[in-house]
Amino acid sequence: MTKLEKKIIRKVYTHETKKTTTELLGRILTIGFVLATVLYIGSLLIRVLDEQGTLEVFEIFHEDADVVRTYFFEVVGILYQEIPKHIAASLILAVVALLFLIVLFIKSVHRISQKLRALRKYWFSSAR
Amino acid sequence: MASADDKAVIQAIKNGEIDRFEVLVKKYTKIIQSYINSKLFEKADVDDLVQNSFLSFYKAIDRFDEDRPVLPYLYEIAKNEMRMYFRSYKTALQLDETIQVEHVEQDWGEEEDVVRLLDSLSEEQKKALQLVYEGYSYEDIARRLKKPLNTIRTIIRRARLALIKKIKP
Repeated sequence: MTKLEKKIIRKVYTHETKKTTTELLGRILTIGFVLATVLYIGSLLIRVLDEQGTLEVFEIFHEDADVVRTYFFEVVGILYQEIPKHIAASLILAVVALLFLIVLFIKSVHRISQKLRALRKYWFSSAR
Repeated sequence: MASADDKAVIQAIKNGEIDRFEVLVKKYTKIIQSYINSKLFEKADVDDLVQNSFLSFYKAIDRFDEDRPVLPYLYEIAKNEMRMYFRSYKTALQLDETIQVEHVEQDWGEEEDVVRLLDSLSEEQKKALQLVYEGYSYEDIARRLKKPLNTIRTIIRRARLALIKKIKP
């Protein structure tokens, strides 16, 4: 490889290192932020349900399967009536956003890992 | 049509195998180098332009249709790089010559005169010119002033033209 070719490759790798690092950090931070939001809204919802005593309806699941089957829809109905709608809607939105981001991340994992492998090979090999 | 080799290489690069870019660099560097070399008087800048052309190609590779041939696209990028180079080089050359001539023929070299001339420029132009004379490259100036490279080129060109007009009305 000539000196000029080496210079070109170095420029490309420098550019790609910055790009991949930014992309990876951006994705991780976004997923982390949305995950934290999901946890926060989830804990808020559970606290509200706990204060209302709504969670007690789940004690039915300690009973026999027949009892559970009989009262299942009643439990769902009570839960639907007592759940704070706006918090539940926010939680669903946040979970959907989180799943969407995770799917996008999984789809690009192969490409990013290939890039990371190439970058590691370049920066840590003596050939450059 | 792109050759089967190039197509496979570009697909691999798009899939993250960036080390395959070396294949394209080895294959086309000499061609692009001699193309730029044939158009440029300043041979010292040929290598820079070749490097910039390949970097621009790499940056655009995600959008590049792998069915298209690579070489004409690279020529096009090299042409654009040269166009930008000529644009900045031409203005820089004019300014240097003018200032030198003025220095010899007129005794306007008082610091106050220079300050007065610079004061006639906008803050943005002053800052950009100052950075040029401190030895920063256009790319560095663009980064420091947080503006696109082409905007910086325009700001500096206009500042220089304004100065030339003032010196030589």
